[in-house]
Amino acid sequence: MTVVSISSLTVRYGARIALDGIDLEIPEGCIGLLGPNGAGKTTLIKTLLGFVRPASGICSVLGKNCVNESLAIRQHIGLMPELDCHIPGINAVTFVAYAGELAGMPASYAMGRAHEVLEYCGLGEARYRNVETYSTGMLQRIKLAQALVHGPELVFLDEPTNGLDPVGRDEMLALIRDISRGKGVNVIVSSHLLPDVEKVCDRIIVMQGGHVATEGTVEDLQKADSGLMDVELRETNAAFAHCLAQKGVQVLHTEGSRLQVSFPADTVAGKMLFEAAKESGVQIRGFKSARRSLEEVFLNTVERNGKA
Amino acid sequence: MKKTPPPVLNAQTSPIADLSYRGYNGPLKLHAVRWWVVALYTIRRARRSVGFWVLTGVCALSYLFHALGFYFQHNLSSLSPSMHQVFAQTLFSVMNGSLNEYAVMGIALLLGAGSIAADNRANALMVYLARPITRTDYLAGKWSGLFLILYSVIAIPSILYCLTAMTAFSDMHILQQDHWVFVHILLAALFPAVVLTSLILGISAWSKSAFSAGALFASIYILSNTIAGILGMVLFRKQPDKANLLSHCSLSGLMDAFAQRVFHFNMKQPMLGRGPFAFTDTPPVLLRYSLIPALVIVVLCLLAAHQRIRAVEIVKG
Repeated sequence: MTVVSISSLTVRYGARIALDGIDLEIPEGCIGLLGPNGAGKTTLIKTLLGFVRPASGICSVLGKNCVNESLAIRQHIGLMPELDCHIPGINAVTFVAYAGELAGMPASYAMGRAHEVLEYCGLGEARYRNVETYSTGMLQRIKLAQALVHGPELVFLDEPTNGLDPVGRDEMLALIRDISRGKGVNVIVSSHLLPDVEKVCDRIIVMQGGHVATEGTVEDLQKADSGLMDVELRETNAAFAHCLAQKGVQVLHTEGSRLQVSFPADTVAGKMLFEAAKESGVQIRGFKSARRSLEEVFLNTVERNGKA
Repeated sequence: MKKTPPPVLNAQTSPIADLSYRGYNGPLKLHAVRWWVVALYTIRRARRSVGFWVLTGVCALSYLFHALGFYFQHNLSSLSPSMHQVFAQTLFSVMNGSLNEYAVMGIALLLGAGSIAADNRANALMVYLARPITRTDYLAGKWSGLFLILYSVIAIPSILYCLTAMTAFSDMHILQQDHWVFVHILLAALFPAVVLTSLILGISAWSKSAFSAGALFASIYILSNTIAGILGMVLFRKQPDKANLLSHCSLSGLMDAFAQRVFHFNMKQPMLGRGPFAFTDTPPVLLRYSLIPALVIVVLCLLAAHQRIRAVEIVKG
């Protein structure tokens, strides 16, 4: 099922175009929204929430139109904003229960549910303390709890690990992973921290300059271009790299007996590798399509689109 | 008989509560009543405020003070030509007298100044408006919460005062003199509650700090009272009608004018240069002179607040 469907969506802020005719289908699961500052990520989230009116195009969330049915959409979504949003002088239970009541839950249900989600988010007994006494990690947990209190089908998490220490970050990522796996909650994570996105997301969308630069599953995007391969030899052999170079294969980098090589287009990689191994008298232990880190994927995409 | 030992509970396999995440399938309120959640929250916050109870206590004290005053005046009724006029004037003082007026203004300031400003400052509007409520629901909730508090603080002591007078001084036949006395009280209490609520929320919505919103509100209130009062007194000898009208060109003056019209009595106005105890009777001004400016203030403030309440700031470049 498609969670978000966008067709030719354009959003303008006066003369400036923030989203430029994007087309996008976001399936169920945990989706990472990446992009440099000003790419249009936040504008996209605001538009999906119905806060910003598109200049043209159609967008729907959970099958409902963002312009005409924004209230119905907001009944089924949760938002964890990047900025702190806590009212001083009230405790976490009151804050989260109030958020639940605003979503239409009767007061007693909202209170019960606030305790449940705060416990789930790891606040424990600290939930009775006033919010201004909380650490950054605790504040992030409250923001997550208020987004989950009414049992949304889709949650937008804007920089969920901002300001967290490594332990807190891992715990937050574990929570996000947990809610997005088999709990009926779809998650869209907007973050600059690519390792975090890599840890929790099934798919990523890279935005740049108001366009969708690339999208796909994390696994697919991490697979390098078909010509890029990781090769492992039994032992270090300089002649092998020399033979490959003679055949027009570019050796990108060597680390001991491991090499990363780039084959020209329309070549059969296996055949060329074995020929070079035979010529240089070396044994190949294995080879596979090279996997790039998400950071490399992101930087390559941004660079490629920047040039275009 | 051999007893079987109780089963040993394993905390890991048998937790007391299921702490895993679950969706919510419970009931939901209708969208039409969501504003009431915001109103209730405003009232709950007020109930926890010590300052609110202190100022409410001041209002109650004012009621006791006036009740005592009326008791003495009633017992020395020969001093007063018409006890009903005295009763109306005292009732007016319970509602709009300086002590009560400033206590009510203080409550509006205390609860209203930070009402929207604090949400602006804390970026809470984004979270609230990401729920299925509209800007209008939010504003309606804030407005009705504060309005109900102010209305109760003004109307309840006045009704109590009236009930006390009716039971203690049955010879005055208050209800026979004015069948609509309770309606008049409820009507007179409506005016200051509506005006003060709208003004403070209009200011609060445009501010990010409760302090600055409160300072602006208090300045408008006190300065307009002071200037209008002085102008009224200065002009009184030459143009008494104009002076009477001018003395009502303030927030407090508008409220006085409306209450005076509702209770139908002449207000005592100090006369400048005639000694400290020189007062003159001023008749009530026409209803439109209080209603139209109040309506303008209320509409402008609510429109301004509605315009400013947004989930996100949109900067058009």
